[in-house]
Amino acid sequence: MKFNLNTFLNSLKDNDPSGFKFLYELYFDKLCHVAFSYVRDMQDAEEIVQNVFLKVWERRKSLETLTNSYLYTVTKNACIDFLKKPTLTIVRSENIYDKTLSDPLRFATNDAASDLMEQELERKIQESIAAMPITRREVFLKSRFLGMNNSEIAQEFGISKRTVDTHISLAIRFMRSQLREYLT
Amino acid sequence: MKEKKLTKYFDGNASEHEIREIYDWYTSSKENEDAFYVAKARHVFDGFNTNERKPDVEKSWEAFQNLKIKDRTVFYRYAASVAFLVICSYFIVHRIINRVEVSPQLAKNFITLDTGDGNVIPLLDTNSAVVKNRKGLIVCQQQGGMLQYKLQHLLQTNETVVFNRITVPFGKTYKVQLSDGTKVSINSGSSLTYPVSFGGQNRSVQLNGEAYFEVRKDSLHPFLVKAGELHVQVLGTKFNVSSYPDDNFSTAALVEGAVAVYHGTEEYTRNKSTILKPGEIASWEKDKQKMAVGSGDVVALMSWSQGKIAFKNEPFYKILKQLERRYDVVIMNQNHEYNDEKFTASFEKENIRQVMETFRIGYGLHYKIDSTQIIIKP
Repeated sequence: MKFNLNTFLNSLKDNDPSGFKFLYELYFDKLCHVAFSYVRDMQDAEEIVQNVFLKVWERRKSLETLTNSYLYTVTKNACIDFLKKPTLTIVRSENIYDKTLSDPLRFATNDAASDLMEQELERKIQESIAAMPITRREVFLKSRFLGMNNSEIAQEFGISKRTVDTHISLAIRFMRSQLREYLT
Repeated sequence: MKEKKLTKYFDGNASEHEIREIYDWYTSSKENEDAFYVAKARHVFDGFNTNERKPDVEKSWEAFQNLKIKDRTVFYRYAASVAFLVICSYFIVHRIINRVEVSPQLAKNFITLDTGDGNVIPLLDTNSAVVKNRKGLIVCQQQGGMLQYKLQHLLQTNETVVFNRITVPFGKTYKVQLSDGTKVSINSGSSLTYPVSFGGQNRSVQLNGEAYFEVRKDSLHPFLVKAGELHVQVLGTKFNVSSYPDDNFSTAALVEGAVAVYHGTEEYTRNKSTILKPGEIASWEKDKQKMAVGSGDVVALMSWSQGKIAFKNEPFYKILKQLERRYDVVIMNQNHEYNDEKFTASFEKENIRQVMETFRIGYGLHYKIDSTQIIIKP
């Protein structure tokens, strides 16, 4: 089953805080990595991504769709805005050829590279999800992204509601440890 | 282009020759340009698991909760803005208190002229202030970015002397030409008090902070700068005097000519004063109550008067102090290892962010700029 953010939007609209936290934990470090590749400063990158999430949170009720592409594009555009601000000029190199080649704005505005970045981001997200044990993943996805409640899921899988609860909490913990792997 | 070569470049290991080769290939077609950036994007994601600087998701999430809470209800939004106001005014009050010790007139963010009769005139870039005396004659006017006093002969001693004072806030500098033709550049966070026209034996001015003087030669009437406990007496010369109340030293640096420096509680006599030669810097150490003379880079020292900022072998804590004054910022240094380390650098049109970036890139300094201060992290 492929992870689809769009179905996840419903839980956001219902003000489900755990849903948003999940989205945040799944994407934060990955978007930071993307932003870092553009702005080349982790502190700036984190600030930019923090604002991206704030935007998503504020717009959650009016968002038509929520996709990987949307999150990537908002992040990329925030980075481009940041790079266009005249206050920041980081001269990494005296070599004029290198200067052109390493120009962050050229990189951030290159469409071919952006397409690949977006795909790679999606792949990383799917990898995180795929790394979960099968039943747990299914239970988790049905709960979080198809909006099924726990008793419905219990019925479909032929397991007790209590087991569903456990699966979900383990899934959340697992997601976190997955992320921590990237963190450490 | 071989993937290997590009990877080597992205890792920062390519030689100048190789960079040139990649550049030629890159500029030869749009396809190549795209291929270059696609390879770069791939390289970004290949480095995903090995990237050393990982964000702390848990901590960021907590910070995010605080950001998000403002959005929850109108009440919270107001609460947040009130809190913000309170914090701001705290900082402003805090800063004014700090600055008051430096100079009483610095609360406002304008360069001001106190005409000594109760009027305080802001000297803006855009207007050209003209000050007239009671008889309606022009005393001074703003011209070409400086305040020029009408050149006058020295007054007879029986005439009353009117004093003016120019006060320059942090983040700005200002130039004035006094009535004897002496030019003075006044540095950030400083004030200069001087008579509208000089009378008596001496041409005497009072300095609080830092200024660079180009004194009009007049051997009959010595020019005297009273900078706190440090007094500098001159005939005609170029020199820099720095005497900020929050520094534990006052200095006079000589560029050209000759000056005598002495402790301000005493009268000037040739025996008790120290004669400086060009290139020498006299420093009055307030703690030790002692005058020290040494040579130094006086050109770097007075570079601020030409809108530059230059340090030659200066300890970091002194550099921070100068940056604070120049850019009107508060810098908190939490990394004490740097404090006494000496740096050489010069900046011309850079803003404070670019200056900090230079330290970050050149010396690995970690810092954070927020709306009120710059924090240098350990």
